[in-house]
Amino acid sequence: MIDCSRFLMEYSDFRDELVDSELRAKFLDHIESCASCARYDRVVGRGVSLLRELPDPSPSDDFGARLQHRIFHVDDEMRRVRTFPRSGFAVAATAVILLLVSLSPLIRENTPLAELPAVVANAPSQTVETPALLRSGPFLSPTPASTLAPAGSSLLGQAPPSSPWLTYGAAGSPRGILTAID
Amino acid sequence: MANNFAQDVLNTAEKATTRPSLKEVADNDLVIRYLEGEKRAFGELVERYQGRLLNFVYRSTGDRQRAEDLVQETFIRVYRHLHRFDTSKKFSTWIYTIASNLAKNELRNRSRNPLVLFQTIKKNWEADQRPLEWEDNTYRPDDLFRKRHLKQLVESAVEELPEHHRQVFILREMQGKTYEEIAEITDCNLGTVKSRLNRARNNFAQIVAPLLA
Ligand SMILES: [Zn+2]
Repeated sequence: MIDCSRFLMEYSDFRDELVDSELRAKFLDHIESCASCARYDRVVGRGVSLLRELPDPSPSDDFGARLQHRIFHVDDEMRRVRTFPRSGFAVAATAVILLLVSLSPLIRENTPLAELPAVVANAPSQTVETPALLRSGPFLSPTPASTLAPAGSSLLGQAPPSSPWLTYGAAGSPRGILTAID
Repeated sequence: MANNFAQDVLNTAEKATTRPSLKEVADNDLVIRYLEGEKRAFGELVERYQGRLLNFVYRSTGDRQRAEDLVQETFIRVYRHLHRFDTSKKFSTWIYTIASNLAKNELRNRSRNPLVLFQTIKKNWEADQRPLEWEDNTYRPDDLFRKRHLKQLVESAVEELPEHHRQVFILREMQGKTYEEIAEITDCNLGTVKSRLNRARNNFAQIVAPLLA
């Protein structure tokens, strides 16, 4: 047997059918024997059914049109957000290249020049009048092309580091993000 | 080129015939179809939820016009964040959570005035602390005015409930949500939901009893 105080304390469990059959029978017994709690149950039930009979407020006629209009602006904004990171990246990449180009003379000045092999000219041992066409010219020892380029200039040709491209609309985010929208 | 176009049309037509119409599609599948590019799927979600959300927000805030603005805002937020919705969760719980938070913010903003804020806190505290009680009030059948306006009076009884009880009460009694859904929507644990709901019912019964036979 349950008393009035317990009836009130656990009434919601009873109403929402969250009690086992044994306890449910005890609640029903109490309702049978207690006019006050029986009325409580009736009042809640009747009050709620009146509430449910209330007509739902319907959205005003221009509800859909207003929403459509707002969505149009959201679309527009989202389009801009989607394109901004790309153009922003392009601008940043161009700026970096221009900066490096403008700094390149400084880079060159600070870079020690590669030491070239000495130029050796073979002088004739005696002065013999030779026909100009057969005269051997000064012999320039060949210089490897690689040593001509200042060290570090390959930086300019280097691929930019891969950037963490901002993706818009990554699916499957954790629920925490969803609940944060308030 | 022309062949590709014809194939596209055929594929689309095939999709249209094999796919169920939007009315028969579950909420989460509507989200998926929208994300796949079927724009009308979002319209179907709006159609499905505008009435019940308006009802919920209106009953929670008591302001019809403002409720409509808040429901619009709810849909806008859903639209913005739909791509982040975890389709393993229930869409209705998600959209109700957004609407519930907006309604709570609205009520919080209204009680910015320190005096109103104090009264609200006091009312909420008392509603949580007072012992559950039930007086067997007698019905007053001679009061014709009350009888005639029974529904409105029952409606205003809901408005009289403290805010945190009211939301739980509406979600359970008018929107048919489960305890678990209510806990998620209102960001409370199950015990709090149970206790608030029981108190809300008790409070509601006290208010409406004199009107009912
Ligand atoms: Zn009793």
